[in-house]
Amino acid sequence: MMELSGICREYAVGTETVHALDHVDLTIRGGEYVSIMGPSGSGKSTLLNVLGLLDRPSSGTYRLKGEDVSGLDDDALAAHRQQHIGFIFQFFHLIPRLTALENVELPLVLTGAAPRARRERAAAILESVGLKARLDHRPDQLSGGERQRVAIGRAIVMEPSFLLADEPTGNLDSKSGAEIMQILEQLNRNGIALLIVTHDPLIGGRAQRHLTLRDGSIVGDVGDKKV
Amino acid sequence: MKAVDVARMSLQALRRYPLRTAMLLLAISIGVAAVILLTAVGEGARRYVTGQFSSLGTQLLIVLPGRAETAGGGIQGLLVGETARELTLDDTLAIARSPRIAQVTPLVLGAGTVSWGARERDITVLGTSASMVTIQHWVMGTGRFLPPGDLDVAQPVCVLGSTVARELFATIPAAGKWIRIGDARCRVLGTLAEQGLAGGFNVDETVIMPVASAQQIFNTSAVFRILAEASDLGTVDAARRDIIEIVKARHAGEEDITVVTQDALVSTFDTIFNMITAGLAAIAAISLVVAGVLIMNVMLVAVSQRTAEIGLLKAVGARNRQIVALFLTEAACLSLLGALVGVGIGTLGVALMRVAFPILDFASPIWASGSAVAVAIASGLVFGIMPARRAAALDPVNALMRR
Repeated sequence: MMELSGICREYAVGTETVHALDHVDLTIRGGEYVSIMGPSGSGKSTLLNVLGLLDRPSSGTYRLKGEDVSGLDDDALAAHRQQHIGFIFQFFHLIPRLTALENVELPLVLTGAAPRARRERAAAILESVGLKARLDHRPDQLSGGERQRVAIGRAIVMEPSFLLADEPTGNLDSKSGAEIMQILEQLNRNGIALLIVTHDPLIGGRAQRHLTLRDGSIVGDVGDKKV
Repeated sequence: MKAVDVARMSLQALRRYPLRTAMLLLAISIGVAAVILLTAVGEGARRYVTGQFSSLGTQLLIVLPGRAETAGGGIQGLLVGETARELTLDDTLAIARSPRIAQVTPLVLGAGTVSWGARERDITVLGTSASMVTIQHWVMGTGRFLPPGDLDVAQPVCVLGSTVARELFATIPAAGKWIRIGDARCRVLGTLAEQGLAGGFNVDETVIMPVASAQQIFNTSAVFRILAEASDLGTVDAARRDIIEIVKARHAGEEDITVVTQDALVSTFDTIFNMITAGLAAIAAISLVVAGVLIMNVMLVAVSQRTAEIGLLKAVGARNRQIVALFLTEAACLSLLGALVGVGIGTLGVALMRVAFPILDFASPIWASGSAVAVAIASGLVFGIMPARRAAALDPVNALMRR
């Protein structure tokens, strides 16, 4: 469970202070499928970054799986990201000199996992996203859809509870985009919570719960199956 | 994160930019090779000079008048050469009676003119005794050396150094000829084979006479030096103390001589040349520090080129110290590889120098290679810290926005 209460995130831009998030209260439960939409600059990405522990709120409280993570240091935040959160980016962020297998392996390498075990795990995950024949290809030898599938493999290799995707189809043609959405939704059906930031109402509309942001505040929260 | 994975990822990153990596390796290897080559030159010079002195024989003791400042002698006394009380032939004879002295010979030096027929040469006259030829391990060319006999008997005989003999007589046999040294006439007993430089003194350009004859020519009763040979290698120090005691007793209880042993001379030169070699190494090591600055520069570029990658590493859970370790290892790999290539180039260069100049025994001391490699790695690490810290300090959100 992700619980935000009274979260603000402010930037200083020149002499002005921008309120990217303005007293946001939000709860995301395990296994949910949530889309976050809103115009540019409404704070969608900032919200996703705060939820993903990449960004620190200026004020407010954030409880992740019951633990208050608002005041943790860099390394503690990194540890939480490692265990609980998988990221998918618009531009894939694969490391160009590493093969598909090595890219998926990377989070396991950071934990010091044994080479044989982590290789088998990474290979199994790539197979599950349909890249069995592409293990030794480098990112520049893969299509956009294949790259994003490698990135999904990397995001789930640590078996996180939350999958945070920022415009996951924004850089893909519609056919690859649909394939990526199917994979992500299948992962959600298997129990992982899926949060998608998107401009595209067709993509956003597929989620069970729709959040709408404007000027740093949540102005719409539809489909929340709160008790 | 396992060390082997850190190393593997660093090497993968280096392979990604082969040209840049090659240039850095070149810079570091030139620095390391420079240390090795320069110290090899210094060491070659040291071996040449100490070899020259060692050729005189390590059992040799040189007695000179006057007291050098530091006990134990050294080169200072030779250079200053102040005269307190003169050494005499009687001092020489007294020293010869010590059981720890195998043989002894006096030495008188002076400038003179030697002539035979119309040919004339300015030479150094060396007055000494029969023992000189064995003490100095001279080899005769033709004829014989000075005859044994009382030191104080002047005889009109002489032995020619090889250059003097060649220039006066060319191919004519010199033995038995009468030549003129200054105003005195003397008969040539023999000639020396070519001796070359020994202790910086060229025997080939001297004429050797009995010490009493030389003293007559230069109108002196003093002896310039006394050369003594200890009866045994182990007794050189005891012999030295003996000589000092004997002469002290003869000089009214005043210790007014200096005894220089070959060891002291050799070790003085040894020290000087070791200092020079170390100085050369230090100068060459500066280039390694410069290479370190290059590493820092390149690593800073790498950090800014790989900003998005650093952001990604942070997103998937890399701790700050893991990112420091990755970039520091990359710098360390660069300097280690460069250092190893440099050792190869340096060793090859020393081998080529030995072929080109066989007279000098070039050899880079092992400490030079070791410390050059150590300095290269240390400079890679020291200059790698700043870029690595900068990488670790990046904000993940901003880093990920850079593609």
